[in-house]
Amino acid sequence: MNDRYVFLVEDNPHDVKLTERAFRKSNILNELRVAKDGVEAIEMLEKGDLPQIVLLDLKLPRLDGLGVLSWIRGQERTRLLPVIILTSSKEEQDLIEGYRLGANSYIRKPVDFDKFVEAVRELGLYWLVLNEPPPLE
Amino acid sequence: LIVARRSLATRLSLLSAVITVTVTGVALSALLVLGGRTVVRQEMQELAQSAELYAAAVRQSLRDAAGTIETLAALSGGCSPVFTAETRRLSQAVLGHGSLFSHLLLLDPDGKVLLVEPEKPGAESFRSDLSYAAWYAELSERRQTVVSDLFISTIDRRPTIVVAAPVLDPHGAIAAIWAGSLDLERLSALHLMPTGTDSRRAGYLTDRRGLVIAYQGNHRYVEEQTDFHSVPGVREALAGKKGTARYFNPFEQQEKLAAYLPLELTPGSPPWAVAYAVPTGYTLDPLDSLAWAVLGLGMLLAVLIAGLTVFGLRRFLKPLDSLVAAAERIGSGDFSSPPPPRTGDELEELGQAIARMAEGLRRKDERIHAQLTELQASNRELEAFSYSVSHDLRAPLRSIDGFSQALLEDYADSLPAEGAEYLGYLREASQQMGVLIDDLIRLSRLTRDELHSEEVDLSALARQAAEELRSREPDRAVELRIQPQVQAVGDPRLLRHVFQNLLGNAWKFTSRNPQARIEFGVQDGAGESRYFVRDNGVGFDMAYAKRLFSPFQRLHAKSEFEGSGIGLSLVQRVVRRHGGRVWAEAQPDRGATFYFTLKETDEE
Repeated sequence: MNDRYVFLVEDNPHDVKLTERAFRKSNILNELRVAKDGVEAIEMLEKGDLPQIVLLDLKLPRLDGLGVLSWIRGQERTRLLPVIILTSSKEEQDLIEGYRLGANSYIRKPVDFDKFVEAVRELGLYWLVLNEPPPLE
Repeated sequence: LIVARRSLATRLSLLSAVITVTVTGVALSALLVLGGRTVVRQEMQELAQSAELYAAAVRQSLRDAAGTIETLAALSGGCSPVFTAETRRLSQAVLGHGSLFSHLLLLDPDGKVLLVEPEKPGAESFRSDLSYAAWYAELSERRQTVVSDLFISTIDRRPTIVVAAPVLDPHGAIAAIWAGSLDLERLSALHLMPTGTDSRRAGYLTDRRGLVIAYQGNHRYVEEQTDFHSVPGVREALAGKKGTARYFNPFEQQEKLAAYLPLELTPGSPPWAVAYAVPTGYTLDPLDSLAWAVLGLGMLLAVLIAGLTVFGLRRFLKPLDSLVAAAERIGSGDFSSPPPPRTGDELEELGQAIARMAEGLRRKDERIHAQLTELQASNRELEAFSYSVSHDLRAPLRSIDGFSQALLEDYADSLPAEGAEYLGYLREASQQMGVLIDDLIRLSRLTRDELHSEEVDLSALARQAAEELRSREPDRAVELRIQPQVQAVGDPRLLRHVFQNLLGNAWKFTSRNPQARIEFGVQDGAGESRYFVRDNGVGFDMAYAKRLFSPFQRLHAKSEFEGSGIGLSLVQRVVRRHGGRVWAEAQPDRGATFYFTLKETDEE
């Protein structure tokens, strides 16, 4: 298993807590770092090392998720990062725009926590265990 | 347009022509009837006058003739009939004086001819005996002047009338008889109008039997001894009556206007007939020509008026072109009102009305435009709202559900059973609200999204929906009857929801029936295709059918059947967006049938 950290961009502290719990319950032990808005997310990616995956909410203060995604894909250093959009929105427009900007996956956060845990578990299994991430330079 | 106007002009010109012709016809009839009557009356008056004059002339001539013969008799002065040179000289003087007589005869009392003047080459006539003649008998009896009827003269074999007077001796016995044979040709020429004037008006005279004695300008009837007694006017006159008549004269083969009167030669004796006649045609012909002239003029007038109508109408309706153009412009959405034509008539009024209409339409258009902009704005707001609903409303629900779950798992030991149960309710409620929010958003999106119509296989959509249901509950035994090849035009993406919901409902409400059956098909009704989904489930009371399609309305307790109550209102929206209707028929415990129609777009 790859042990690089998972980068969660999420402004809702409850969702952060629930995501942490879902990771825990799914036995994903990777470190979870959290950015509370788009600008902070970019700053953290610029300064620190790169995560295994980015879990990106769309509706964020200051710079929204699509803005962050577009920035990630625009930077030489980060452009190959796997980015998974994790959001409440099921708007067609968001889906299209997300994929157009190069999201690797689009997951809708279900209300039912059990389903959320299931989603996070499958997500972790796929992206953190099965998937071979692009090599870091 | 041009065709329409032309036909208007044509119709009006035809109408005016018809009116003109009718008026002409009425005038013509009036002219012919009234005018004819007047002309005939006038003609009759003139004829009556002429007849009187003619009769007077005839009477005078005959009196003169009688006077001449009586003078001759008087001059013979009671002498016995002597054939002397004096006698011959006397008779020659009488004949030479332009008299009506062709011959004079002197007879002895026995009717033997003593003298004929002028003398005839045949000597035998000299001794002829005229005692057989009717007039001789009459004279012998009455011993006074007599006028004979028409007979053929033995002297010249021509028809004649004889005027005879006796020469009486002192004892009053007949000593001799002077007789004059009238030259009827001269009688016919009597009182003749100057040639060339009124030549067709003629008088004639018959003896008391009706034989023609004289006929002005036409001696033939005399020569042929034509019997006119069957001619109505003659018959009346012979019966002693005087008057006017219009009748057909069989001898002349003509209709005639005639005045007639009886002519009494001596009081008490049967009268002769005098008539003055003219062919009806001769009198009425001028009227006929006048009628033809009026008719021709009428026709000419009709053509002229029709032509003028067409011309005038075209001219007057010319401004219509610009009005039509204006209306067309308005129709195509250009509301710049054109100046109305300055004709000062109804067309100008129409132009002004069109201008006012254009102004009204322009204002309405502006208003609609403003409303549309407003509507679009509010639609965008609504979109933003539903976006935020979907995103922001779900986040707290997730927290409620998530942390309830966390409590249940992490603090199970310190929670009493009841607390755990309440936490379960919390989770249930938040999850339900999540479903509701999702459905609401789907509903609002269905009303917003554009319609992409194409040929759709409804049977395939029904089958797909049914397969989804079956895969979800593979254990249920449901008999599915889906009519194949049901085609329609619509948006398959939206119609899919219709089948998911209708079949989903049927599936749901037949769950308690061990022999569940669900049907899909189409039937014809009132000229439209009615698609239906039928089940043999629990059904419902028709009293509630109206509420069926309103959002969040449920006819069954939630504990009985699952569902947010939004499915059927979603179906209704989709069907309405396709220009169709949806309704249901059901009975409690006897199943339900949902019908829907779609606008038949193939004709467009």
